[in-house]
Amino acid sequence: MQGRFRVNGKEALWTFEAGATLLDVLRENGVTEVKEGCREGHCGCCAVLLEGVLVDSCQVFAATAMEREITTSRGLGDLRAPSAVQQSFVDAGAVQCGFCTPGMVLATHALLEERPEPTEEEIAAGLDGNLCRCTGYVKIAEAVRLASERRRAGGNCGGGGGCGA
Amino acid sequence: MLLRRDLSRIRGMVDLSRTGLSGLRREGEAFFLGATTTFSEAARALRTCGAAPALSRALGIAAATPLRNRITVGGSIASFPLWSDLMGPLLALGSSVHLRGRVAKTVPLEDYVTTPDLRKGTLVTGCSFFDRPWRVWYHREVRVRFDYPAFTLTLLALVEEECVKELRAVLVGCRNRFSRMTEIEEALRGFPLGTELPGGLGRRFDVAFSERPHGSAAYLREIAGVWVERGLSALLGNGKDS
Amino acid sequence: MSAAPKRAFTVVGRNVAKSDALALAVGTERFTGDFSVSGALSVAVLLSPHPHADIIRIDTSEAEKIPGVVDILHHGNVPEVLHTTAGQGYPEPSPYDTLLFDRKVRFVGDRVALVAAETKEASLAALGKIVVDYVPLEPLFDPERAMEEDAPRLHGDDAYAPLPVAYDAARNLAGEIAFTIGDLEKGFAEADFVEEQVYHTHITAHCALEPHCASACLDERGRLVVISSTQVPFHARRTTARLLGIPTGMVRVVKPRLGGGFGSKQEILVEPLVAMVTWRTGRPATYVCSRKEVFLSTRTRHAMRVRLKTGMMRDGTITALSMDALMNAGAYGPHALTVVSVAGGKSLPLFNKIPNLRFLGRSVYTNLPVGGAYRGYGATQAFFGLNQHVDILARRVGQDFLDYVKRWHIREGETSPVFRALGEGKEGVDQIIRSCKLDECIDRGAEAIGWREKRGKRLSPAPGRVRGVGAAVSMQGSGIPGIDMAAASMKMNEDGSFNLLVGAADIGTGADTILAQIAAEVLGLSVEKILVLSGDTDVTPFDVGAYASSTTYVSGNAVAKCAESCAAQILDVAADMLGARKEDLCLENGSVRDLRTDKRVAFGDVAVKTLYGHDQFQIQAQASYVGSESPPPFMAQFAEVEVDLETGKVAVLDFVSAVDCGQPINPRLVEGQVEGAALNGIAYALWEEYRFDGSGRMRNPSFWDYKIPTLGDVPRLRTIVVSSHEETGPFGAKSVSEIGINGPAPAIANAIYDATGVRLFDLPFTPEKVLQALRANVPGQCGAESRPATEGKEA
Repeated sequence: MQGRFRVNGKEALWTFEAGATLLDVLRENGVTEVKEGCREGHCGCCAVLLEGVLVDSCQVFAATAMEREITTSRGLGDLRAPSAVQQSFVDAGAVQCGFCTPGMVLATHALLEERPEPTEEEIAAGLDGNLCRCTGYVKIAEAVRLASERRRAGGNCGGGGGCGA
Repeated sequence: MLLRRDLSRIRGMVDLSRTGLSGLRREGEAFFLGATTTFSEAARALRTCGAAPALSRALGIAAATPLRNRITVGGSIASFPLWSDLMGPLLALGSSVHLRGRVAKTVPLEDYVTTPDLRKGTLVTGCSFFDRPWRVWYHREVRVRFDYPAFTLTLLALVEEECVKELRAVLVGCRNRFSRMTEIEEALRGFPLGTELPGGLGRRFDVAFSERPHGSAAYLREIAGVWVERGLSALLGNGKDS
Repeated sequence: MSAAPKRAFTVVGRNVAKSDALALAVGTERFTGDFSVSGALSVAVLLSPHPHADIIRIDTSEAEKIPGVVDILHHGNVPEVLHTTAGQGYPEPSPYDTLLFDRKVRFVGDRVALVAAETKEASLAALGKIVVDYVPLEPLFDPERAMEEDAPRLHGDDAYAPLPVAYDAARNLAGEIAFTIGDLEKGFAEADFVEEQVYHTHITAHCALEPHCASACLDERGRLVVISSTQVPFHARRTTARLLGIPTGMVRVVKPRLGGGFGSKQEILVEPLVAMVTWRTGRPATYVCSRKEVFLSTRTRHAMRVRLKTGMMRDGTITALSMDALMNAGAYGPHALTVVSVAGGKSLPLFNKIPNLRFLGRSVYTNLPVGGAYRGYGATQAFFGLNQHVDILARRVGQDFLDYVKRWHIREGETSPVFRALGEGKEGVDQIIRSCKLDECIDRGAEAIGWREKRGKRLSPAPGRVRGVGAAVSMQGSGIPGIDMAAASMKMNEDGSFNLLVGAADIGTGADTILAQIAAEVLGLSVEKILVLSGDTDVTPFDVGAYASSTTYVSGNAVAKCAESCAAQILDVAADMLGARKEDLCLENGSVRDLRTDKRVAFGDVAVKTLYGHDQFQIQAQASYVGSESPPPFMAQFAEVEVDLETGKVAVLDFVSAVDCGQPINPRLVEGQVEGAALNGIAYALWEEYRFDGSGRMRNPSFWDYKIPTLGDVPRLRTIVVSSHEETGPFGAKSVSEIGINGPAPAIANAIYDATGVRLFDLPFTPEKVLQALRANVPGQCGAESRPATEGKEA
């Protein structure tokens, strides 16, 4: 079947098998920041925002996502103007291999949209579907807290050099 | 894991998320949860109206965030996976299920899950329950935080004049899928809060488990008993932890 | 080359942001699966359902008829080249016992056949149509039985070890190493106490989030280009070429961003498959392992049984120690010899004052998933036993564990005969410890965890819950001396920046960043001026790859040497430009400054002159480095646990790691390594487990039932970095990537004992196992000797 998809504000018409997952359709069409880690809805590497809601794209039929706003990490910011969350991950040392990072960034973003000043428990709940094997999560939690502070202090970061510091 | 079946031969797809069956509706003390309400939406809505804390708690911790954002109440009821966090609180609340299709009526959830005939050719459009001022205690037996439970325990107590007026105790995940622990419920009817619980309650319900990765059948039975006792203590005011 | 500098560091020791961090957070960086190759064939692999069977017939006729199928490989149509999949130096110290496709299957998950097709669906459909006739053979699952006369034999007489090491396929012996110093019987006879215990570790998986994957294509001139998620690009090139029967120079291996390895990708598993398909068909080919395949058919941590027997005097002096390690290699033997060698080689030197010492390490074949390299590499398994054993010994003589360790561990200026006795396939190398701050690690860690306040107190915050603290110490290595080689090359650009080309593999560790920091420090530059390109066998010079904690020390030394050579060339040119003497010049802030006149010339001006001006030449250099020693990092780790006496659940409340890794090149990256390794070690102790059915089939090849933690499971996790200066390391650095995983399991075991008086000798500490042990309250689950009644009392 064929359908219209809006990824990070950009529209495209894609052809796909009716039963295809959103993960496969995205990756086949070049949206490779969405990663395949387990295909079972467990690792969170394939997470995207579907109308602002965090979902595992490997557990979503592509057909369900047609005509709906899909946001990936590249929709939150870019190299010249990273979002507060992305820059915070960099500054806190929360990125090692980076395979989990796009999903973590989206989970953090979704969490902070709902809870701008999350408690430890809310951070744990918001990121409970994102596995990381490299960092031990310590600096990821720091990145979330740092991003929360920065967003409350004054929005996204512009330019490469780090927010508010 | 939700999309394991071979879908190459499907003829058409209906996107249920666009059918308007979503949301929490309230009519006095009765609540109706639409079938396509996701766990996250349901938890949020229940918290906002301060209703059914057992349910909002279980829905808020089931699986993980991106899955809670997709798993629906109706889907979970219809498939009743052994590992469901939804079913314990719903059963304890004495919920009903609304059906359409071959059978078009409202039936108690307990009947729905025990009667295969009610599940053939029917579509779940929602569930409803009455909320009362229950005291709530909930436990899910997991290995790590993001895990399906080996079993869940839901304890609800209605207290009047410092005594237990009514107790609901539901265990989900045993060999029969769920057990309403009537022996416990009866043993504690009229129980005065803050006094010493009758001994051996953990052994007093008849439930069998299958071996799970979380532990052997014997182990699960034993700790189910431990948690029932702990839950009752926490719920009925002996000041212990949960 | 790394004499302590006179000035303070400008780049080394700073928390420089990882060079790829932003691009990874945004999502522009590319991993192996992100390079789209048009027209690439999809590869699917048929796995064995039997633990041990002969394949008597493979019929692919129906499979070939599936539309879109292009090629099917099996034992009948690929060259038979015995090899090891281990990514190690050549010739490898691992047995050549593996074929790409064999006539025999040796574990559930072993490779049977491969389909390459136009689409993934077609390849999977064809897989289902391949008909295989097996004759099941008796399987062998128990490593203790593997060498018995009547045990089923897994490998034939054609399997062999390319190096002169112990190997005996007829007895299922995949590797063996042993040494004895002194006279054990005399030592035991002299002792006041003899303590013997058996410790068991279990099979676990690395769970790198990026599955094993590779893609192959032919370039414009018909050379094979393989993009792979590999820790060892150069070993991958060599082995792939060998398996295809083509010259090494016909193959290029490129490692892009890589989503975690931890040792699982120190293996040449996927590359030869896609390469073979491409070579045969001329078409590009891609293979991404499913998560299930990663669990079943890639590599695991070896399970090991460690029997420790010690003789000890009343004052705590150990008079004799025997370590007998039996390792379960699984169906094939990559790393079988070297992991068990490291088990003794990195644990025994820590207690170097034992006059009578024996080590026996054996690896045996079984019909189970295959063990490979995994962070810690045998040391983890040995330290699980050794740290518990020392806890037992210290308590026996009424001493505090930490005081006991401080009394007996190896110190600066000391050596151990074990360094020479246990090499990795070749003879080991003597060395003297030049840097060791283990005491400071112990003291600072003990204070952080509240050792004095909590040890032996059995604090109980709630009925049915009790707390305890335990500790563990360990060492590792920094590269394999005399064996691991790294090389670097640099060239200067006209803006004063440098391209730094290294064969070293950044597998998410930040190697690219710290190597840039080292070069920048030598040259007095900011780190952004060093542009690193790594892991491309056509472009970058040789490096063994990311394993044995070698990158900072071995590759770092090569980079430092290379940068110094560039620095010398810059000084020559600058001296000329400034009319100064080289001795009066210094490099700082991207300029060369004349200390006498304070005149300067910028790097850019030097470069422009050399590239365009007069007597032009390219400022460039190359350097190689092989370590003559392997200076160990040291670590003390501490766990506070709470045991639920009614359910057996063990919760880690607090975990502290104190590490001496020499000079940290990037402290935040050091912490990151330690934190990741520590949590991995905690999960190893408590939650991870391969569950098998009676037919050797792994029952939980999925994150749903193979449990690793999420953020909410992490206890308080603290890292203390204790700086020391290792004079042979780049700017004093040693290594840190593996060691953090060695301590958690024994520290937790020791803490459980502290809390409950019950000791657990085998992993993992599942709640049911803990509860059974508590109920039995027999201190010692599976020790050879049961403990006398004095065990369990306060030390």
